[in-house]
Parts: sequence; structure tokens; C-alpha cells
Amino acid sequence: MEQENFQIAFGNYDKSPESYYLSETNPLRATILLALKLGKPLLITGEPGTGKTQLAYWAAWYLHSKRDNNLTPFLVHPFVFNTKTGSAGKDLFYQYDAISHFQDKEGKKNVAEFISLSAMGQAICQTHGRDTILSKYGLGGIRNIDSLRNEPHSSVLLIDEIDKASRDFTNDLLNEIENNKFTISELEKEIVRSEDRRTRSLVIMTSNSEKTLPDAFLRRCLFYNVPFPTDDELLSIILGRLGPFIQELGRDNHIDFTEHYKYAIHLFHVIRSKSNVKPPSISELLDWVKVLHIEEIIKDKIDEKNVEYLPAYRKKALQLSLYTLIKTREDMNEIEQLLKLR
Amino acid sequence: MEPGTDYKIPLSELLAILKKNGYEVSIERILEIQSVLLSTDLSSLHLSGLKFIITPILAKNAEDQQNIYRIIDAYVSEKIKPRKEPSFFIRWMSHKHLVFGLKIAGFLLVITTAILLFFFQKNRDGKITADNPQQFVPRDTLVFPATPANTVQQGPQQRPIPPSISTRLEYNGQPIVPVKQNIILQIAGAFGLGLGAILYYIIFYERKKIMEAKKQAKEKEDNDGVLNKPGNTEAPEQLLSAFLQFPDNNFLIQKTKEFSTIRTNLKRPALIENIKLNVKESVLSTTKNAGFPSLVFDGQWKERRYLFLIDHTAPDAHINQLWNFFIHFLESTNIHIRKYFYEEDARIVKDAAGHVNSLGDLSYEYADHHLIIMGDCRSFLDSGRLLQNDLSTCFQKWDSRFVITPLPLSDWSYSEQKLQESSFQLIPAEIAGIELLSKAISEDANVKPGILASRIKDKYAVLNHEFRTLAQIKEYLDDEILFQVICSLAVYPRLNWNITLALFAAIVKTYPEGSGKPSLDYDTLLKISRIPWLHTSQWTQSTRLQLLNSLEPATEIIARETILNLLNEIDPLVARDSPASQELKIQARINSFFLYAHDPQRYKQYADVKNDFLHYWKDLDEWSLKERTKNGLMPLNGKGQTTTVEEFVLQEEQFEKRNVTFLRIVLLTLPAATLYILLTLFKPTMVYPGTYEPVSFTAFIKKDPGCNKEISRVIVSRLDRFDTINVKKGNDLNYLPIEKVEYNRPVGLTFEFTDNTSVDVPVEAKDSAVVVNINCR
Repeated sequence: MEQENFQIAFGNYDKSPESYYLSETNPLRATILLALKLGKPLLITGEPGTGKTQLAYWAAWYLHSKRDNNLTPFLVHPFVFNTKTGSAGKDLFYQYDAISHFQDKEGKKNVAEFISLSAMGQAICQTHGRDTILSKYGLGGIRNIDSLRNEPHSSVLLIDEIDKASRDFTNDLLNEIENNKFTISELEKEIVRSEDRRTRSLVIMTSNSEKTLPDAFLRRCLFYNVPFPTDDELLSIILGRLGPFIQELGRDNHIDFTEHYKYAIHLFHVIRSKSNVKPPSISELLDWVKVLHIEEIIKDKIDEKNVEYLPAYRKKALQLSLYTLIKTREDMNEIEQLLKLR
Repeated sequence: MEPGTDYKIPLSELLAILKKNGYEVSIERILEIQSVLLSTDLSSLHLSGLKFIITPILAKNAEDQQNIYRIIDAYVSEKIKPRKEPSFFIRWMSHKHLVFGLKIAGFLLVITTAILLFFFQKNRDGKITADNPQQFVPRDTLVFPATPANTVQQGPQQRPIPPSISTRLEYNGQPIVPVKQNIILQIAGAFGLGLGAILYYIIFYERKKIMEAKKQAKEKEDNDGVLNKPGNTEAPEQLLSAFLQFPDNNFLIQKTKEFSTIRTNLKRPALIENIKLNVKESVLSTTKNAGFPSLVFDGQWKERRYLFLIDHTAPDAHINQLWNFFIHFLESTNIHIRKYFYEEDARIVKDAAGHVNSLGDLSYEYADHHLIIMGDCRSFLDSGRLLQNDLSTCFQKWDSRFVITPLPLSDWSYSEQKLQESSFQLIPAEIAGIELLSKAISEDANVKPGILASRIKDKYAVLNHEFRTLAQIKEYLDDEILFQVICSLAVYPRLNWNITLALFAAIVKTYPEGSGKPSLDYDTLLKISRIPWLHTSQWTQSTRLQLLNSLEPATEIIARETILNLLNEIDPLVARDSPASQELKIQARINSFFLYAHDPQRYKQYADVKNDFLHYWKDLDEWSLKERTKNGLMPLNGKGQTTTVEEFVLQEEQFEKRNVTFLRIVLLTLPAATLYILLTLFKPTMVYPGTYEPVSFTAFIKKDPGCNKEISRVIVSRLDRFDTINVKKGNDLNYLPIEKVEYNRPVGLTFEFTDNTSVDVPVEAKDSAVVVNINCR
């Protein structure tokens, strides 16, 4: 790999919601609107790397861009709660830094300064707007109160990977969502979401289906499983996401890579079908195609029949690029054998 | 749509179907769906988009989503499918014999019209002497009978003209209206026949080329095909790949309420008996509580895990497929399941990927799982009907072990008793039994035999039941519709779970609700699966023959249509030139042919199949299908009587030949006849070259009475010929018909007298009668 290639950033710039590909006919659009209409949380499942988390970012961006007189404007970014194994229902609303409070021996600080709002707490407070929250509930001093907008806003709330937490968390979760209020016991304050029906919170939860979710929980959600994209969709995703990357790469801007991507997608499917341990996902495909661009292998006709006729140094480069897709030695051996890379 | 506006979507029916398939369609869900529909602009909502509204509300996992999509798609396509029966006229018109008769009649009509027009025209031409030729009445002369003796065509002779004779002409009739001469017949003949010949060449030459290309393709196909014996049911090694993989139809199975109970029971977590103090969390919690001790224990509950061991002795057997469906259902609900398969020897097991493992290893690895064995487990017992020692050692590692046996409760015997004595909780495979099992697991209790016996409602035996004859199968099934479903399986040469499901659903759908039709649910499928030849997935040809012979034609039509639909569905997925592809073609042809042969009007789209069907039929290795000659969906002849396939194909070929011959005749003659009719009717200027039709008139001869000269003969001179009329001596000539002479052209009349004198009188053909006055001086 050449020195200058390291300058290429594998940053998040191509993960912006504008680059997220969701066709006009994709049922997810209808499902998001359905969740908004019914006011029910939406549970999204699917293979890892199929863009479940990104969907929430896209939904926020999309709803923000679609102004509707019946709704207060949506925030452009979602409030995000990353579920952890020890997450409890209360954690959705706020975090209390008990250790720091304990260390404040002199007691000079206000209790509120040890409290920070979590995603759902932020979403509920945002239904009022910061000004109202400060004046009505007196929550001044809360660590991240400045993250709220002054005016009431609708928002998207992402609760990511809920299946990581214990069973109790999922059971509590819906109660908390349906209650529309929370209490900060340390401050003895109860915050109730705004009664203005125009201000909504769209709750999107993602799950990798690693753990069983209780029936009662499932019953109270809308459900959508993101299927693995078709070839055409994959092509659109690559074209949409890799544009900024190719520009940054500073070469081949004028070339239409559509046909080359089709070869790459075909080979990706072959590799995916042969990967027994961990089949690669879309995000890994995108990384792989980036590497193919950097190494300029993308310009070769890479399918399982032609790979063995590539020059040795290009075969080597392709072999190395596969590490972005394949994560186990067992799968790697099988693919190298299939593509005759050794 | 404005709120409150009525909308007419048969939602209740669709939701009832979904409910029947085991989805939780509660009032709350219905209200949610209704409210979404009421707030949606229905004019922009396509019916296919309905699933995107209903599914997120009802689905709980990916499989539910997939299944609900399929159910709604099937429902919508069923509803929007045009059901209108073709009108009587269209049906009548699609009857090929009638159409052929009509074609002949039409053709004859055209030809007859042309002929009639021709004669009409000809007769009209014969009468064009004058518009209204009238009998000339002599006014100043006597008329003597004069009969021309004979007419001899000869050239005029030069005779001296007597100076004593003079002639005078009087045009005394009606003026002749000339008729223009036409060349319709010539044009129609030349152009019509030419056009016919060109069409003939194009059609038959192209047809011949297509036929030859088809023949070559077929020959190539036959040569390339690995499967030379179509319909081979023996499944030798090399043909295994020829078996078609049909789409998964498990979604058609209705999940009864027991399924949700089983799911809930198996998901229910287990209580951990010795819970431990979580020191770290306790410290954190105590800190949070301002130093008040707050103990936190590790979770008191743990997720239940299950290990399924499945008897895979006959992996394609219906009972195995049924269990696959059941386990897949549990997997889809995210219940923690590990599954392994065993064949004869349970010591060696395989996972789904085919990796071999030993039961001993499993007993260590999955000791904390609930063990559930699906199979009769009789092979676990030794000759003394005791559980084999090494197996017993392995199984004892599991505290909780169950056997779901395919044997009905009524068939349980000493072996089952021994298994129960070996601490296996044994239950029959009925869904009620599995529900009891799930309850026992969730309560860490045992299944009570008394309750088991009371919960299994449909008690029947299999082991002592004979399945040799159809009557015995019918007696076992105890349901005429179910019996027809079983008979319909014989339509396809191999037993296939997905075909069974598709046929079951298609046949049952044709019966009205409330007619006591069987449900496509787990227990019904279990009953079917327990039939020995379905249990082993092997049947004899004689069984198949019996089934085919008992199949109602209406059911067979549904079965063949369903199979054709399935074949069409998988067609794009089957690799070209593969043995499976050839099998697909053969089966598609067989089913298309039988449908077409039974009702050529309704299944006209399959008419092409008959052309090469006999070729496949001769090589077909489906003895039972060939043997069935009278019953079921057999070919019908033109009179609606049942015929054999060979007879039908022969008749079709003969009909085809007649059709071709007729077509040839039509191609060669119809353009000419049509052109003739059209030209005759419309008479365009091109058919008139500018000449006139020949005309006729009568020349009356009026001789001076004082003249004693006798006319011996008259010579009529035209441009191209001469006619001589001899007059007998003593007779007098009074008139002379002059026919077919050119209009308005002089005709020479030469009168010769007995004294060898003669006189020439030029007469113009312009009047219907002319009087020739002959005077002697």
C-alpha cells in the first residue's frame, strides 16, 4: 500500500443521512410513517450491518426535511440511547453521577449538576423546549440541558440494540415509553411530556435478535425486519455512499464504475455464500469496495473465474482486501481456495 | 380520504384469514389498522401496499413478516384476478371444431358468392342486345315463313350485282345501349392467384422453417439432456439433482392457538435456584442510595435453552418436514434452540451443516438444555427392550428429557412403556401433546398421562391399520375432501412436502366455508404424514395408480393447475440445461397437456404442447400415469368421449392436417374469389379497358312482293368471321338474328339470289331491329 493512501479517511462523512439509500418504494418509509401515526415504537431487526441504526438518523433527517403543519418540526438528529448489558429502565431518562456527588464533600454544588439527561429524557424535555423546562420544572444546572432547543420540537429517539440488555429492561421499556413521564428522584421532579399532540417522539429500537424478546413487548411494538438488499439496491447503496470517497480519493472521478461494482457485488455474494462463520454485511462490503478503489483492483474484472488470471501482485492485493470482508481463518481458507488466491 | 368516509376494503375477510393462520388479530390491532387506513389517502394506496400497513402491526419476527406478506399477496392476487367467465359466444368461438366448420362455411360462402356473381354477370352479358328488345311487328309487308336451311361458315364469293335490285334500310327498333366490356375475371384470377401463391409461400415456408428449428432444438435437447427417461421416479444417484426444489409453502399452514401457548411457555425463563450476590452492583447501588445498604443479586431468572434431536432416517418424509416447520416456528420466535439430527444410530449426530458429532459430546456441551427428541426412539432399545447402556449413560446427563413420537397414542406399546421407564417423558406428536410438553417444561413438572389422554381428541391408530387399498386409506382419513387431497398427490410423480401443502390449500379453497372442509393445520398434516408411504416418502406405482383412478376430474384440474403454477414459479430459478430444468419441462408439458386435452377451449394456451407431447409420452417412465386410461382428467375427443392419449394425439394430428389442407386451399383461392367479388361489386374504372360487350340485333327482310327473285343464301360479314345462312328453295327469309357483333360497327349482309345475283347491304349495329327492304326494278 502506498504511503499517500493512508491519507484517505475512513470517516463518517459517507454515513450522513443524505447518503442513506432508501428507495421510494421501500416499505420502511411506510412503516416509519405508520409508527408516527399510531404513536407506537418501531422495532427494527435484521442482520448486523444492514443499516438499522442509520435508519434512525435517516428518519430524523427525512422528517426534519418534510415540514408538516400538523407536527412541530423534527430535530435533524435523533436522540440515541446505546443499550448496555446492565441498562435499566431508569437509564433511559437520566444518569445520576453518584460517585462525583459523593466526592463533592463540601456540598457546594447543586444536585442537578450531577444529573445528565439520557435520550428519552431529552426527547420528553424537548417536547416542551428548553425555556419551558427551565421555567416550569426548574431543571437549570442539569449537565446537558444546553443540548435542548429553546422551542418545542418533535424528535426521533433511537434505542440501539435493545437485545443486549436484560429481559427486565425490555419489559420496563414499553411502560416507560407509554407513561410519557419520568421522575428525577434526586431532584424530586416529575417531568411529563407536552400535551401538545403536534409534538411527537418517534421511537425506533433496533435488535440483532441475539436474545429472545418477550411476547408482551413484541405485541406493543410495530415490527419491521430489514431484509438483505437486492443486487440493484446494493448497487444503489454503493453508488450513493462511495461518491464522497471517490472525490476525496482524487482520481477516477470521471469513470463510471457501475459495471465494476456489479462484478464486486457478484463476488461479494459468492464470498457471503461460502462464509460459514460470519457472512459479511453491507458495511463490510462498502469498506471492501473502498479498498478495491485504493488498490485500483476495482478496474479489473473480478469474478470467481477471472481472479486466478490476475497478475500475482494484484491477486495479493485482492487477497489482502478480503480481510475487510472475512473475519475468520476458516472462512478465509475456504475463500482463498475457491478463488485460487494461493 | 376524509375522516369518516366509508371505504370498502374487505378487511374483515383478510384479517380472518390472518387470524386463522395464527396471527394475533385482536380488536386493538383491528382498530389500529382501521385508524391508519382512515388517515391514509386510499386513492394513492395500491392494494399491494396494504401489506406494508398490516404487517408491521401484526408481525413479531422476520418469518411472520415474510408469511404475512405472502398471505396478503396471495389474497390480493386472488381478489383482483378476473373471475368473469367467458361469454357463451367467446366459449363457443373457442371451440376449434366449430371454428373449423365456420371457417369452411365462410370459405364456401365466399366462393359461392363469387360463382353466383359470375353467372349473374354472364347472363346479364347475354341479354345486353338491347335494354328492352321488343318484338318487331311488320306493318307493310307480308311475312312468309322462311327457315334457314343451315348455316355454313364460309368466305363471301364475288357475285355480279344485278342492276335491277335496290335495297333500303330502315332502323326500326330500340337503340342499343352498349355495355362496356370488363376484365374483372382476368384481374381477379391473375392478381388473386398471385397473392394467394405469395401468401402460401410465406406462411408455409416460414412455418416449415419454424418447425425445423423446433425439431432441431428438441433433438439437441434430447441429446444434451442427462435425464433420458422423463418422469423417472426411481431416484438413482445420478438423477437426484434432477429433483426440483419447490418454494417453501409452510406459510400456508394455519397456526392454531396452541402455537402461541407453546411459544409463550417455552420462552418462559427458568428460576435460578442458587442466586449470587453481585458485589460490584451492590456497592454502586448503596452509593446511589446515600449509603443505605442496597444489595443487588445476579439475575434470578435464566433463559431456557433447548436441544432438539431429530430422527432423520427419511429426511424427505412428510413427518420430518412437519417437524422442520415446527422447529422453524420456534426458531423464528427467537427461542434458544440447538438442533441435531440422527439416523439409525443416535450415538452419531449431525448438525444442520452436516458436521458430525457424538451424542456423548452433546451431553456435556448441552447438559443445561432441555432435551427434546423427535422420533419414535424404538432404535434406542436393545433386543431386550431396554435402553441401550451407552445411550442411557449419555441421556442421563440431561435432567429434563422428552420424546415427541410420531406414533399415535393408540399405538403405544411395550416399547413406549420402556422408554417412559427410562425417565423419558413421552408425548405423541399432536399439537395438544406438545402444548402439554411446553407447559410441563415451563413449570418444571411432568406431563400427566391422564391429562394427555384427555387432551388428544382425535384418537386413531396407524400400526394396525391396513393402507393397501384406497378404501382403507379413505377409512383412515374419514374425510372425503382430505381423501381427494391425498389422491391429488399422485398427479406429481414424487412426494414432496411443498407440493402437498400447495395442493391441500388449493383444493380446500374451492370448498365453501362451513362445508366441514379440513383445515390446513398441524394436526391434519400430522394425520396425513402418518400414512406409511408418506411417512417414508416412498410409494409404489400401483398405489399411485389407485390414487389417480380415484381422483375427481375437478380436483385433478385444480391439482394440475397448482403444479403448473409452482413450476412456473421456480422456472427462473432452475439452471438452464440442468437435469432439474429438463424435469421441469417434462412436468410442465404433462400437466399442460392433460389440461388442454381435457378442455381445449379453456386451456387453449397450452395447445402447442400436443405437438411434441407424444415424444415425451412414449419415453415417459410413469407407469401409473400411463395405465390410467379411463378415470380422471383424460383426453376427450370431438364428441366429448374419453380417449387414450395416443388416440387424442392422432386425432389432433388428423385435425391439424385437415386444417393445413384447408388453409392451403383457402390461401390459393380465397384472394382470387374475394377480389372478384369486390371488383364486381365496386367496379373500379381499371376493370374497363374501353371496349364494349358484343351486341345482337335482328334484321327483318322485306322483299318487294312483285319481285320474283328468290334468296338462296345470306352471308353475314363481321370483322373476324363470316356466317352463311342457306335458304331452302321455296321458303322465304323474313328475319335474320345477328348476334355478337361489335357495337356501332357495320355488318355486311350479302343477299344471294337463285339467279346467281347478289346484293350487299351494310348494316350498323346500333338498333335492336333493322328492316332491309329489297326491291326489284
